[in-house]
Amino acid sequence: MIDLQLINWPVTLSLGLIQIGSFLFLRASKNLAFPVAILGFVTAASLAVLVKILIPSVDATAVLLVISALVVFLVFVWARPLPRKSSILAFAASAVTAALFAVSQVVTRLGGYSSIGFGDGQTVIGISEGFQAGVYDRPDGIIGLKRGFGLPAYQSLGFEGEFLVGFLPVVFLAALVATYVLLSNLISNRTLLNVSFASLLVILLSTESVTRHVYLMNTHSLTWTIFAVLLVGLLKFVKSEQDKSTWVMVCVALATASMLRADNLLILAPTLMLLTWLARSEPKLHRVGFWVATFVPFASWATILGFGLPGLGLFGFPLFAVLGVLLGLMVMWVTVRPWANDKMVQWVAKGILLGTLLLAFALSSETWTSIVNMFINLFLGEGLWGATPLFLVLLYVALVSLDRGPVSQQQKWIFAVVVSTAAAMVLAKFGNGLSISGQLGSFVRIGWGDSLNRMSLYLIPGIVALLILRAERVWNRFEGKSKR
Amino acid sequence: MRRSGFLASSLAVSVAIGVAVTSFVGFPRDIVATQNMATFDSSTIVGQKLWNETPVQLLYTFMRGGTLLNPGVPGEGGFEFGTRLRLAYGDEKIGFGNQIADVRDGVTKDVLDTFRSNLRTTGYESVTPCPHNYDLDCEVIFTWNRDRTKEVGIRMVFIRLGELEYGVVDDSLLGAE
Repeated sequence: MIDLQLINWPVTLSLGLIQIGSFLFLRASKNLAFPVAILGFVTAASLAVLVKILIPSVDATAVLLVISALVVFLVFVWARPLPRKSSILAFAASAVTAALFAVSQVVTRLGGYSSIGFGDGQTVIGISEGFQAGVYDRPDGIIGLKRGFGLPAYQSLGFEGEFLVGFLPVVFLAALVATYVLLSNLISNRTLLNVSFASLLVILLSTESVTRHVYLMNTHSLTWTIFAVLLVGLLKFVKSEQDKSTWVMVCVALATASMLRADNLLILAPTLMLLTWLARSEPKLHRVGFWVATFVPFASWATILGFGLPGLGLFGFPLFAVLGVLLGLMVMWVTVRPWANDKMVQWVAKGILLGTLLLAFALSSETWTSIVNMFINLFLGEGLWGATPLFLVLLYVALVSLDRGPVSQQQKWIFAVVVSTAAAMVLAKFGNGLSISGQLGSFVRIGWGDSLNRMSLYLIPGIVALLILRAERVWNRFEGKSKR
Repeated sequence: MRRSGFLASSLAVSVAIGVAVTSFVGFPRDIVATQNMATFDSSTIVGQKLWNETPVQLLYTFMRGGTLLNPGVPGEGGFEFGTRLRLAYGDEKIGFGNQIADVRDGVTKDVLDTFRSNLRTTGYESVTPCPHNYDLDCEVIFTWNRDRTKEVGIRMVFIRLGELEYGVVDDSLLGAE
């Protein structure tokens, strides 16, 4: 008989409540309700812990439950009048999500499964322990920014002295579901979709660098989920299929990323700009909302760090958020210029990668070594990617050679996101080098533990989206031939 | 039409399985997660280093600028992962020539037990094929003097501690200067 005390009921209930809200809000794209609920939960949990730090007498779990209940209440008010069937389905979705989390907790405890040993993870559970005990040892500036907030915050909602056991596998599952939903938004051929995703699952689950993230104490699989959700939102704007829930979904994803780590602001910057461009027919307030969702959560947790920005003290971070939103307004101003068009924006996105590489070669003597190291990690196995990258490259080349027709707008935008995000990841790594050693140095080292090697997970949704779009064209071509 | 769809689907899944098998057989693999954790208490995990990682990834992460002494020749009494290290360190930083030093020679059991216990206090433990017989699993304790983490040229020595126990430790812990 399974001991029910193995399950963290208050937190499980909170996740279930947020799942109700997410399901009702995303009735038009129900499959995305689960990943968005996970993102919403992380943001709500981070907020609850932030409240506890500011008002030590409150209980973070109680605050989380209040926030979760409030989410459900507000969504019910927003969604009125609500068909009975939708309510029943929302509660069923909630029960499934809560059950999944409960099973994950039990399996994790019974098998004694946990993260592999990694310095960052140990630091995170150390900070998380502090959050839980209410003894927050404010980390130094760069360390604090690097470690971020959201991960140790939501992990601190575990049992006394523990982190939140069993939640990371649920996040990993959310990443897979979000990727499936992204692919289902791209192609209409259900057979191709299901076969492609089944094949993708076999490949991903046999790739050690990916499966390490089932339990890895880090933000990578959550950021993978975030990118998949953002790409779904971005494609809805490309196809002019957006509705109010698209906007909320994108804002939740951006806010979660902002709650997690400071470098996410840089890594998400290209996607944020592309979203602002593609949503240019939306009301100005909605587009400003993207920038507020990106900068305000960061500013809120950064103010509790043990340092302020030079000359500005603790006011520096709120001011930084204001500047971020002003930058958004500037980008919005550019989007309405007569000379700005899709083609130019796509070229700028690709140019970011080129510019980054030129910058790297100009300012760092170790750029070539970094590129060689990246090759060793991706193709010779030391980054624990197995045969996967080599296969994906060969598959892409094969698909392109089988169909050389013009690429669609969807492909162009996804490609723009992938290359500009890859560039932003390299820039973030440079920032890290500058903060530690004061020089750009090498941006890739050999081994799975290299940041860029681990962050490559963020690109999975974009890369598989590009592949499936190519695969669909080839499929249709052969299907057309067989019909003739 | 249905038949061609079925064939294409079967082909796609077969290729995916082929890629998975190639990843399992033809590429390096370490560990996916820590298993059999006795506790999820954060302090205990951090204090006792309960989370596992393999020696090769620990070397990559912490000892990039180091040199590796006597990991032994792979297949001839050396660690199986020794060949992987060549990519990161090059032959000049790995002393493949000597066999793994057996520290059991010439010390009493008490001294050896104390030494092992000290290594465990700060070390990461993992399981890897035994250098002396790849069909057996051996435990490897990986540790170093944390003050030397950033030291360029730190020397990591591969040692045998017991029948199924090995160590990868920095030379200051061995007093081998």
